[in-house]
Amino acid sequence: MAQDTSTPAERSTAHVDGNALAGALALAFGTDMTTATVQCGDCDDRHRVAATHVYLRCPGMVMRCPACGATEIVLTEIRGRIGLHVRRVTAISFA
Amino acid sequence: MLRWRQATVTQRIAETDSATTLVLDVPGWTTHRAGQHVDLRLTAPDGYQATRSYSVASAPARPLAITVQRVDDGEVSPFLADVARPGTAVEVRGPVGGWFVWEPNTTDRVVLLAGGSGIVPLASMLRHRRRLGDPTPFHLVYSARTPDRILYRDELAATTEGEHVVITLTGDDIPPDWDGETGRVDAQTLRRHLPAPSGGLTYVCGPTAFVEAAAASLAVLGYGPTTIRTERFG
Amino acid sequence: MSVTAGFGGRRGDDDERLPPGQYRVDDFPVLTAGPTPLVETDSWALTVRDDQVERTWSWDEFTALEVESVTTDIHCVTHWSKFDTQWAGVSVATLLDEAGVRDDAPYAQVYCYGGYTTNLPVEDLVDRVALVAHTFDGDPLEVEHGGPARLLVPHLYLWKSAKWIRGIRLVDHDQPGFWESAGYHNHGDPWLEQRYAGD
Ligand SMILES: Cc1cc2nc3c(=O)[nH]c(=O)nc-3n(C[C@H](O)[C@H](O)[C@H](O)COP(=O)(O)OP(=O)(O)OC[C@H]3O[C@@H](n4cnc5c(N)ncnc54)[C@H](O)[C@@H]3O)c2cc1C
Ligand SMILES: [Zn+2]
Repeated sequence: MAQDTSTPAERSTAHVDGNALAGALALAFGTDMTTATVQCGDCDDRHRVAATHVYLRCPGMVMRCPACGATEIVLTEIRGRIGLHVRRVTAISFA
Repeated sequence: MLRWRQATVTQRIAETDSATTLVLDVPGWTTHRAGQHVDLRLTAPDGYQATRSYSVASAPARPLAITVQRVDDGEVSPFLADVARPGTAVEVRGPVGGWFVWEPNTTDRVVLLAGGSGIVPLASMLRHRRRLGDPTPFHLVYSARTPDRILYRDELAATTEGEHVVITLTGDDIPPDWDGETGRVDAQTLRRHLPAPSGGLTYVCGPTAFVEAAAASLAVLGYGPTTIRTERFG
Repeated sequence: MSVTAGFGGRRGDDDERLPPGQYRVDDFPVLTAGPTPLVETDSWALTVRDDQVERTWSWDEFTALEVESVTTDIHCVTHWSKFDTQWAGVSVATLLDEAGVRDDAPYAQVYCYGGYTTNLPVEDLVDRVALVAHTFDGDPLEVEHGGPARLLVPHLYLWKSAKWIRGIRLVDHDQPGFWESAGYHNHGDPWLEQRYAGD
């Protein structure tokens, strides 16, 4: 298979941050998650949920590692129900 | 329990030609912390829904108010800024967010950097400070494109003891009578107006490009990353 | 749920070219679930494979293949549709032929620069119009719309038309992609309004 030789565009401004997920994540977890710390499953970086990069201009809501861009969580809100899909996360510690 | 609640617009205040404050009555609303936001949902007659986040503009314990800057080709903000009026029903969920908040007596000093509508949650912090008579020193640098885009202009100018407010215009046509700062928020501007980086917390809010640039400038000045809290509006 | 008086969203069109629940746009919205992946055409490659054979084209080899042009309506699951979009590229049927992959594999997995994936039945790629497109409106496909090359499967919701395509793999067992594994419909036919799993 062809190698992924791409590099992410620098200074992209297509994202917001984990604060934008406060409502959806609070519904999923029952508590505020923006202060929680996440460890990335790809690069091991530890960061607050508030500091993640979040993409909203797409079908769902995609939370990515601010250090390496890996997809950490995909959230959907379909017919009023939150769907939480954990992808590249090794640990979440609650504040 | 966090859930969608019925909200009714009770008051509409034109802040500028392109921004409107809506005061909302939400049965069962408790109170918020300064810096938090709500998710707001609109439903069309055919069931189509659109959800966006809006920061709470008012001080904690005051009636819930949001300020919406119209994005011309946007879906939700033109409705809120131009169409919604007293009696309009929307739904809100919140208040949410526990990171981008300021509590009195938690830090020696507060630095606020706002770009455009990013002033909204920072105004809630400033209003909170004034209402409580909290002595924490506040330094606000607020960047707006043109004078007619400055939100809460008179209120911001009415500084009380311990507050430093600087507004910088970034647009091309600076009116001749403008005697404030001009130009984008960069390390030089910040060096002129901010205290040396020791102690305290810094809150940065606005469009993503503004937040990235402002945070980079703070780093140049030696502000430690763990003392900076950012919120990107997109 | 309660209706907000005066809010119509961006919709309200009942053109029969619009699938249910869609509204028409004239601009070309940029949707993305991640940072835009930049790849130079000299390091770009496209692979088609199954469990036996694998064929990789460089950019020059790929653009030397026979070009097919289509004019088509496209439909995004986020409710917008755009009419009469003009594309050119290499048909997926041509790529599968040239690669010499088996013709009885039922499913395709699509891989992209930047990590995105999607899945679809092979018949949607060979029995219908399906391109790996490199040209939009007569110009090289812009990176925010998936350039250098993207998949184009216009009869399905646009998340199937994966931007920044890097490879297609034919398999015996279907495996849901990025959105399909997060509650979106596995097939995604806009005329049947197959937005979410269970629709
Ligand atoms: C935590 C948080 C707090 C916020 N607080 C405030 C606040 O206090 N006040 C305030 O005014 N705003 C606030 N915002 C921003 C607000 O949520 C909306 O993003 C804003 O009002 C625009 O919404 P809209 O529906 O009008 O525009 P949208 O329809 O979402 O479009 C906005 C712009 O993006 C472009 N766009 C939309 N979709 C795409 C796409 N797919 N590809 C390319 N471009 C696209 C549009 O063309 C338009 O220029 C906040 C955002 C966050 C995350
Ligand atoms: Zn990472």
